[in-house]
Order: sequence, then C-alpha cells, then structure tokens
Amino acid sequence: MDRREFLGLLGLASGASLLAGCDLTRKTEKLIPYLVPPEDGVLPGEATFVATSCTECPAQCGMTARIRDGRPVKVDGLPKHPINDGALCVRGQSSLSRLYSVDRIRQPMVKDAGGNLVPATWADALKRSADALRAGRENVLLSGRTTGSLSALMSDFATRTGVRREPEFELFSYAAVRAANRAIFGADVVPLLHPDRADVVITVGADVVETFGNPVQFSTLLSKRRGSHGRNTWFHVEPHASMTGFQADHRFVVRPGSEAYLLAYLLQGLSGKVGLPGGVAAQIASVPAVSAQQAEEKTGLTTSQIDELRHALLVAESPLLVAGSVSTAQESGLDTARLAALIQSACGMHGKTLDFAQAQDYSRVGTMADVERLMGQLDAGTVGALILFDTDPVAQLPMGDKFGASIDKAAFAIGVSDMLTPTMERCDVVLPLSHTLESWGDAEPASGVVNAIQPAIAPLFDTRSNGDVLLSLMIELGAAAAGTTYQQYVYDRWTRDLGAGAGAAMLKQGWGTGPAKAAGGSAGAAGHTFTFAQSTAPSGQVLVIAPSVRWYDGRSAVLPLLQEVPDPLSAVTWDSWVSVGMETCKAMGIEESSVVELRGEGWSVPLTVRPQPGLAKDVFVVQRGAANPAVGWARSGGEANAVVAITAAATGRKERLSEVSGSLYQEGRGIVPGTHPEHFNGDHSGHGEPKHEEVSFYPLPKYPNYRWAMAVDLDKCIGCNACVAACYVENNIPMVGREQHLRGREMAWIRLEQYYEKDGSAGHFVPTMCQHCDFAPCEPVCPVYATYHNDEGLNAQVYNRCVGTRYCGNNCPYKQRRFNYFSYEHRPYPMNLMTNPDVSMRGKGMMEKCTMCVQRIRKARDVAKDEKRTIREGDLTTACAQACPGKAIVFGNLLDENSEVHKWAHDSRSNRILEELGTSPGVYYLSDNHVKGNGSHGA
Amino acid sequence: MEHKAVATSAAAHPAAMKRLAIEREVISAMQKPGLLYWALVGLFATGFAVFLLGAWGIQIAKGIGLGGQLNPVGWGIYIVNFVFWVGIAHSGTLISAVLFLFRSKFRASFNRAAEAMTVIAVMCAGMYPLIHLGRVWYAFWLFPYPNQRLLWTNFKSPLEWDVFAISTYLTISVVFFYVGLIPDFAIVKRYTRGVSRHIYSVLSLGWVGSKRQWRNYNMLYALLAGLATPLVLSVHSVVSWDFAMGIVPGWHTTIFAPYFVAGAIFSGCAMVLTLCIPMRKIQRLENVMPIEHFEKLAKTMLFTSMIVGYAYTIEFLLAYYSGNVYEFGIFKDRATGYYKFQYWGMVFCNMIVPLPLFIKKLRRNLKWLFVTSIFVNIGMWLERFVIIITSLAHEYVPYAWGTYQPRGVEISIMIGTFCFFFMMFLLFAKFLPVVAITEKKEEVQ
Repeated sequence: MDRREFLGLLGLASGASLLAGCDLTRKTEKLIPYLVPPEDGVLPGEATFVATSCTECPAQCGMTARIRDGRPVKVDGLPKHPINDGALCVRGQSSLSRLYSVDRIRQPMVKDAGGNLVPATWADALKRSADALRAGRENVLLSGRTTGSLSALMSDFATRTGVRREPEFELFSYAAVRAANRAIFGADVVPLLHPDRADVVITVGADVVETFGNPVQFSTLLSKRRGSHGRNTWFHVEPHASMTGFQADHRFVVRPGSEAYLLAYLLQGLSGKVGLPGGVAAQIASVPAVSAQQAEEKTGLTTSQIDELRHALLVAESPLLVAGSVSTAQESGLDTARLAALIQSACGMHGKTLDFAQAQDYSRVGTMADVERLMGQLDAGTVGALILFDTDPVAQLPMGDKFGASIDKAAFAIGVSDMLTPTMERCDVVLPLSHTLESWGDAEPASGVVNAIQPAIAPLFDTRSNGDVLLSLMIELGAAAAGTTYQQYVYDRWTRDLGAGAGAAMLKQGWGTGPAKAAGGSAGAAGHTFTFAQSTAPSGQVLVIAPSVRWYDGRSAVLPLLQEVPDPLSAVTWDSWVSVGMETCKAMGIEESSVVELRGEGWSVPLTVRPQPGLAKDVFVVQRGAANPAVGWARSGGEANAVVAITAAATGRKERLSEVSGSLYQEGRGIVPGTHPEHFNGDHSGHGEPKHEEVSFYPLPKYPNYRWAMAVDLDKCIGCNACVAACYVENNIPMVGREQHLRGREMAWIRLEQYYEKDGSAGHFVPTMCQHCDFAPCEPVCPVYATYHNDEGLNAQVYNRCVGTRYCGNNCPYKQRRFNYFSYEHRPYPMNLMTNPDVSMRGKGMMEKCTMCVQRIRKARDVAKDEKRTIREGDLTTACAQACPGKAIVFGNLLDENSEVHKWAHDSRSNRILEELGTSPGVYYLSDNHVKGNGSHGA
Repeated sequence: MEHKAVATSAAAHPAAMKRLAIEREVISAMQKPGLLYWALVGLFATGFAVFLLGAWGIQIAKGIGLGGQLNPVGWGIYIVNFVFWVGIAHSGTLISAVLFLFRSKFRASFNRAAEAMTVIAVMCAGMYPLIHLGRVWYAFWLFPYPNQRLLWTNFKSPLEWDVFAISTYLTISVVFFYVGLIPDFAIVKRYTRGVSRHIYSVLSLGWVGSKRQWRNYNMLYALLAGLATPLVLSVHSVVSWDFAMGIVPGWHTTIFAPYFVAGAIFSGCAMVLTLCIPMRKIQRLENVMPIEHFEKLAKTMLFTSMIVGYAYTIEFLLAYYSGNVYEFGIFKDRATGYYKFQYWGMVFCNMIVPLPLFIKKLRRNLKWLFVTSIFVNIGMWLERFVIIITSLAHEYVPYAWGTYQPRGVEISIMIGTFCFFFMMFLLFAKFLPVVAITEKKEEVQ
C-alpha cells in the first residue's frame, strides 16, 4: 500500500463512519424566530416581572418576581413601594425557596385508619372536611394574621358556614403594645415608625431592624438619617444582645424585667412638659414614682447613661421612642408598653414619628389569653371541627405540645398549610396551600396600602391558594356558588374599594392606595394600675427568647436557605444554640461547643453554647425557631413570655456548632474600616483618608470605559444578611448543608463579618465580597488563566478553564473565593426550578466567587448597545445592593464622576480593607460615623 | 547469576582481585530474591493499588471534598507530601552531581541508591499536584501546548514554574541515573543469561568499555553533573516560591529559597540513611559502603540541620521584629495555637534530635544514625505541614480563620505513596546494581 492509497482509504473510512453517525430518522424541528414578539408570551432569555406581595412574615412588603422561562427565579422589593421602597429582607429574599421547597405538601392528605396522613384527592379531602363541619357541634376557625381580601373572605366564610372565627394567632401579637395604644391613643394598631423624622430614636427591646413592625421600612427610613448628613442619634435599651442593639449608636443593657423602671423614670422627667392631653397627664400622675437611685439599681445602668437618655429625650425636637419585643413580652410588659405610650403621647410623637394613620392592623389578632381560652374549649370537648388555617401554634407556642394535645380533643381537625408542620401532623385532613407566587389575592401591609398578589407561575403541585381553599370549602358546604374563584372575589373587592378599573392598575403597579383608617380616637380612659413595682423581675439566671432575624417566630426555619445563611450576631448556621455572655462562660467554666442544660419550671432543654460578646452576666438567649422551651406566657400583656428565670448547668458534653466565623474579634487587625488597628500605632495615614492615587511600581490596569466598583456605607448597613440571601438566589449559590458547614465549606459569595470589641461594648458588621482588586493576588498565581482581570475592572473567573489548584483561594487575603468541593449543581425537584438561567452552574472541582453580578452587566450592555450608548448609572445594580434595606450598598462605574459609587468612594469616610497590601480593591467602605465619633465604642 | 564467566581474566593482580571482589559483592546482592522479598513487593504493590489508586479513584468520582481542605486552607497534606517528596529527591542530585564535581570519595557508596531514590521520590512528588487538582482530568491544560482554542498557560504563576521544575528534574535525574548505569549494565549482562541477559544487553547500549567509550562517557557524565548541579538549588527554590510568591503571611518571605534547599538536603540525607543502613545490612554491602562514608553523610545532615534550625529562629525573629500583626500572628499561632504540637514536634525532630551527632561515636553508630534519620524524616514532614497549613489557617481576616485536619482519603493516599516508594525501591535493590560498580572499582588503586 503506498501513501496515496493509504490516504484514500483513510478518507473513505472516516467519511463512511461520519455518514453512519448522521441519524437521518431523527425528528427535525423548525425554529422560526419571532419577527413580531407575542405581547405577553414567553421570550426566551427575556425576563418579565410580576408585582406581588411578600407573605413570609406579617409585614407584607411589596415584592416583584423576576420570571425567566415561565418560572420566578428571583424576588425583590417592589421599587417605589410606600412601605419597603425596593428593598427586601433576608426572609423575603429567601421566600422564593419556600415556593421551590422539596418539603411542600404536594396534594391533599387525609388520615388513614392507622393515623397516618396519606395522599388523597381534593374531592375526598373536601368531602371529609365538609362532613365534619356539618356534624353539628360548634366549629372553630383559627388562622394566622390575615389582611385585605383574605380577611374579608374569612369573615364571609365564618358567617355563611356558621364557623366561629377565633381571634387570629400570631406569636408576635403585639398584644401589650396594642393594649397600650388602645388605651392612650385609641387605636388597636402597631403604628409605623418614622426614624427619618426623628432626631433622637430610643428603642426599648423593640428589634426594629429585625422583626418588630416592618423592619424593612424602618431600615430604609433610618438610612435617610445615616451616612453623611443629618444623622440622628439612636439609643437601644435591651436586656440581651440583639443585632438591633449593635446597630444603635448607644446600646444600653438593662437587667431583664427592669425596662418599666427606666421608662417610668424617663416619664417623670417629662411630667413638666406643657400641653399634655388631660387624660394622659392624669395617667402620668398615676405612675408610681421612681427615684434616680431606684432606676439605676433596678436597671443596672450608670447614672451617666440614664442621664444621657433623659437628656436626649428632653432636648429632642422630634423624638421617637418605642418599646416592644422581649421588653413587652414579660410579666411587666403591659406596664412597659403603657409607659412607652405615655412618653410617646407626652412628647407628641403620634402623627410625627409614629404614624397611626398608616399602621399595621393587628385588631383581629388575639392574645395568649385567647389561645388559652381556645385550649379550654378544646379540652372541654365542645369543639366539632377545628380549622387550622396557615398557622403553626404547635411549633411556635411555648407550650406547643399542650396545644397539640388540645387539637386532638377536637372532633375533627382540618389543616391548611404549605408544609407538614407539627400542627398539620395532628390534623385529620390537610389541604395544601399554594405559594403566594402561585396565587391571587391581596395584602394590606398598612392601612391605606393594598398590595396585589398575582400568580407568577402556575401551581407546581395539586394545591390551591388560600382564598380558593376557603371558597372550595364554602362550595362544598353550599355556602357559595359553584365556580366562584378567589381571583374574581379579589377583583370585585378591588373594584368596590379602590374604584372601577383599579384592578388593572393594581396588577401593573403592584399596589394601590386604599381607604386609610381613622387615625385613632382620643386618648383613652385611665384606669390602669401599674404593677411593675410589685412584680418580681426574674433574678439570677434568665433566659431570653428573642425573635430571630432569620426565622421570625420560627416559621421560616423550614427554609434551607435561611439555615444556610448565618445568624448575623453569632454566625451560627444550621444548628440550635444558646448565646451566653463571656462573663457567664467564665463563671460556669463553659466555652464554645459546651452543652448546657437549661431548666425551668417543668421543662429542660440541652443546648450548645455560643459565646456572645456584649451579653450581660447570667443572661442566656435562644432564638425563636432554634429552641422552643415550654416557658409559659406572661399574664399581664398577653404576649408569649420571652423572659424567664432558669437554672443553667454545664453538662460537660461538647458538640460542635455549625458556624462560619473564624473569630468574633478583630484580633488587633484593622479589618473594620474606621477602627484603628494596633499595628498602625495610630498614625497610619491610610485609614480615614481617602486615597485616590495608587503608589506602585507597576502601572495601574487600564480601563477604557468602565471600572465596576462597589461602595458600602457601614453607617447604613444594619447587618441583616438580606444581601447574602439575595446573592444566594441570584447566583445559584449551592446550599451545601450542615455537614459541609462543619467542615468550613460554606459557599456564600458575600458574607457579613461580625467583629466585636473584646469587652462587648460594640459590634461591627462588615459585608464583604470579592474586592475585585486592581492588583488581585489571586490572578497571577493561576497557572491556566482561569482567573484574570478584564478591562472593566472585574476580577473574572472562567469556570470551565479552572483546573482546581485552589492557589487563588489561598492567595486571596480577603478569603472570598469558594471552591466546589463536591458536585453541587444538581438540585432536587422542584428546587432545580429556582435556578437562575442567566448564571451558569459550577461543577465539581471549580473555584467560584462574587462576579459583581456580571450577568446583569451583560444584560445592561446588550440593552445599551441596542440603544447605541454606553451603560449609564442606574441601568443596573447588583443583587446585594438591590436587596439592601439600609440602602448601604451602591454599585456602578467608578470612572463616571457623576456616579454614586464615585461619590461614595471619594467620601472622607472612604476606606478600603487591607489596603496596605497594595491590592487596590474595588470595593470601598464608608466607615461607621458612630465608630469614629465615639472613642469608647471604637478602637 | 554466574561468577565463573569473568574468573579467568582477573589474573593474579591484587588490585584486579579487589575490583573483582567489589563487582561480585554488588552482583551477589542481585541474586534471585526469596519469598520474603516477593511477599514484601506484593504487599507494597497491593498497598499502592488500594490505598493510592483506589482512594484516588473514589476521590475523582466523588470530589476533592473527601479530603479535609476547607475555605481558608485550600492546600492540605497533598501539598505537604509533594514538598516532602521533592525534598527527599534532593539528595540524589546533591550526592551524584555536586559531590561528583567536588570529587568527594564517599559519594560512590551512595550515589546509585540516592539517584534511584531521587527518581522514585520525584515520581511520588509528581503525583501529588495531580491528586490535589480539583479537576485532574484537565491536568494537561497546565502544559503550554499549541491548541486551536489559543489558550496558553500563565507563566507568571509559580505553579506553572513548578510544572517545569518538576518535569525538568525528573528528566535530568532519570537521564543521569541511566547514564551512570550503562557501564554497570554491561557488567551485569555478563553475569546473566536468557531474557535478562538480553534486557541488560539492550540497556547497556552496546557498552564494551573501550577507551573511546570511556572518554565520551566521562565527558557526558561530567556535563550532566554540571547541568544537574544548578537543579539542586533551582528545583527546591522554585518549590519554595510556590509559597513565597503568595502574599500569605508565613509564606511571603525571601529566606524561603535557601531555607527550603537546606531543608531538602537535610531530609534527603536522612532518607538516604533510612534506606541505605538496612540495605547495607540485608544485602551484605559492608565492604562497599564503609562506615566512614555514613559518617560524612551524618555530618552533612548535622550541618543542614543547623541551617534549618537557624531558619526557624530567624523567621520567628523577623516576624516579631517586623511589627506586622499578620506576620507575627501566624508565628504566634504556630507556637501556641491549634497546631502547636506539630510545631514543637518539628523543632524537636529537626533541631534537637540531630545535635548529638556532634559526637563522633554516635555519628559512626549506624543504629543511632538510623533512628535519627527517622526522626528527621518525620520532622521534615511536620515542617512542611507547619509552613503550609498553619499559614493558611490564620491569615489576614479573622472571620475566615479555620482549622484543617487531614481526612481518610488523604491519609490513605499518603500511605499509598509510601507503598509505591518502597515497592519501587525494593525492585531497584534486586534488579539494578545498588552501588556504582565501575566507580567503586576506580577507587581501587
């Protein structure tokens, strides 16, 4: 065979095999691109937005869902919404993972003969429910807090079917606050707070940036008085340690149960104020006198602290004082709430810094007394069918098991929920709820504001929306015409309340202005006897059960994303823990990971210790959702008891907590901008002085058009972790679970580093992400150019070029690179639907990190290119900046001198972390004004 | 093996008799191995297959996360082992090339074993960067080869330098090893029959020992020695730059290159002792490996131990004197933190244990030397652990601190490489002349 023959044969053979490889029988499809795109069809690659309402907690912020390929892939705050103004908290961001949760109930369930819940059809489940409701005995409906049309429909349901509607159950019922407001202001509401109008803000227990009222609204309004201009002063008084406390300018730690003394003393200082309403003056007179010495003794505050508070309140032109949360959820809680209301009234806060016109309507929400009464009725066996509508008292109540036992005493229990909660497990029939994003409806975050709820996706499972579940039951019982839908019901109501044609506008804008309720009546009657002086505050060891910024009252603990995102104070992720102060740890001989046994009256619970700087001696803190000891409830205010006397004993056992922080302290390093690191001996000019010129032997990288950069104002940052959750969802960051967290392999691209002062006097919270350095140490060490610097300042990572040497991760001084130790890209159904198609999934063995949402930059570039221009300020922002309730993050082009990021970067407070390494980071941090202004809290 | 083939030519010269004795002593070590030998080889081969290949296979399938690496500590004991084996490989070049150029006599006793050790150790070392890769199936991307995607490698990366340093070192040491073996292969050939004779014959490349061959051979050998000598400095310097080029406190220091080279020679000498002392005994090579030569090796070890000890001290002092909180933080943590046992273990093994070698009697005591060498091996492994792991665990940002512990798969693979090493060394000890016969013969006047 010669060469030509060989080549000829080779060609023939390969040609033949190529032909054989072509499968001519395969179905061919014709792809015709749209010349005229359909008006509301799905355009591949194009996102549409649906305005709706968040329902993860009762605050009900306006929300917009980004739809890609027919499924919501991201939720964000509705821009210009009167309540949350485009921001969305960590719970709201994570609520998308409730829609796609693998734990959702997928079809109706009924209890079989063996007492197990088994799948059933809607017809079967409804028939059983209807039969039980017709059985003759008194039927009861207990729901969580409802607003708007759902509440109206529930009333209709109750009247037409003869079911008695119980006061709604909310663990955070604001019972004491409302009782006080009813008495003093004649309004049974939780007013919206206006820190933006206040020059002095005093919060007593109320965790206003975590769960109290509408925390997102508080944060967005507060941020208007943070940053450079018109800063107000914020005092926070609390018995424990909360994130809200560390955000305040002054955090005053009082003895548990002593808040009433402090407020009574402050009130006395105001008694001379002119122009008090008559009733109020009389009430003030009825408050037992508290001497300065008494106030000091009881609260444990110093004279100067109390004086500072008293002085601030006196000289303030427009103060805001509010008490709530753990401070009102205790025996003297009602007194505390009433004293706070009296101070509010005396200082004329209502109408100014307290908005009773735009208030949260809690009037249908009951108190613990109502729960107790219902339990009594259930135990007496008088209740026929009990409908538990989207509520989980068994898990949330401090005596949940007892309530569960009471449920069993009802003849029949009908549960309505989206997940099999402990309450649902006790029901005879469980009707599955659709997620808000699959439903029609509306919500009323505050009186006068109505949010539209419209479906962003067809129900994933055989579920119905909350309104449709009620209507189905009504139809089954013959109380409504067949074919009635909740959608129609809502539409009709909008037309009636908001005017004809309001529906279309609502759906487009996402919210509408409804009739505002009257802003309260006159000051109510007196007739309250203050008993705080008689009540015995718990002494010795005290357990404080605090609301959780992640899990609210525990309801959101089922979302894996909210387990993956760490608690901002303690950095704990997947575990239950008890926070213990440093002094207590020393005294009890316990440390991180020690297990302590907390014992109260008739209950005990073992919990792992997480040391918490800034927590007073003998105070133990657990978060709602992390543990639920059966502590009973306070009598006076009707709120679930949050402050209980306990005895804690070390068990000697140890259990590792899944937490993501290497150290709670700066360890002498100047990580937090504006704090003076010891190693600079106080005279380093790099900190506190904005640097615009790089000192380097090497030329700066050239950026022809853009230098994408970010700036974070630590004065505005409230440390809430919303940015973290937003980043997880936007960038398809894998949730790796507890085991991997224990091994230190969390994948977050942005994190909130918390650093405390050694004495616990202050806590600093710094959101950090890839700093996109001009001289990024990660870039030169990659042997294959998988990471490189692009000409827009981005430190880019080419996933599919990465071979996984991990040197970049080692060499990043900020430690912002995340490695895929395992294959995380496959998510179980329906979690896989949550995947954002704009962001590629990363495979096993690759490095990943913050990209400054490069997919959004790409999208903006496409749009700009079509319009023959460059990308402008405001064309895009990153997921973290978009979510931020404090509006603390800005993103943009540093080369654009009019851009916000350019202004922030050149602010006098501007710093960059670890600048002395010469990395020239692209993320600027504006130091916390307070840290700088007050030496005792800085350094 | 047959001895009579050459018996007649030896004639009655005493020197010739001596040379013949040397030749026979070495050749007799290559006698047909016994059952114990094969059992050991089999054991190590199984260990290699199960512990290394098996574990590695599982790791490739499941992900690198089976190991203990975590966010701050991206490099675990895979890289520790890599540096450890590169260090071991060092004495080979030192003993064969540098001592050859300096015409040190004691070289001839060890050079073959040391060179064999070098080649095997470089193989072991070379495996680790691959084992450690997240996506080893793309390891070929680390080589700059022309491709249609126009992708190139980053020559700024110390890891890329590593690719060249290690591959160069492997090439040079294999060539050097082989060239040195050529005359010996010719000798061995004469003692063998059948297939083995054919193989040794091919390997000897037609060596007949003519004057011309010897002239060319000596020229080549000297040139190779000259080429290899810079490698003694460069290879481990490059390996040290893997760390020194990073900005990790504890890594980013200029003394790393000399410090690592000294450490490499130190650990290499220790490993030569660990291997040669038993080999001398088992293979009855007392005559060709005189005790004086061991003493010289011990002196080298003592000297490098002091260099290494000096480096430990000065490093600490520099960190303290710098006033740099990050730098000193690392060192304080090394001495008092989570890894303090590793740190003080390292100090004990590398600084304290070799000190008694100042005493001549102990230097000449092979048992003592053996025990010392084992300690030094452990100490040098710990040194790499301390440098690599502790630096990464406590870097700049306290929030991102973390502690690393090796996990099952990493320990398994480590055991697997030791199995591979001993398997290869056993094969070497029986199938190749363990002492350079011709060089030993040259020594005979």
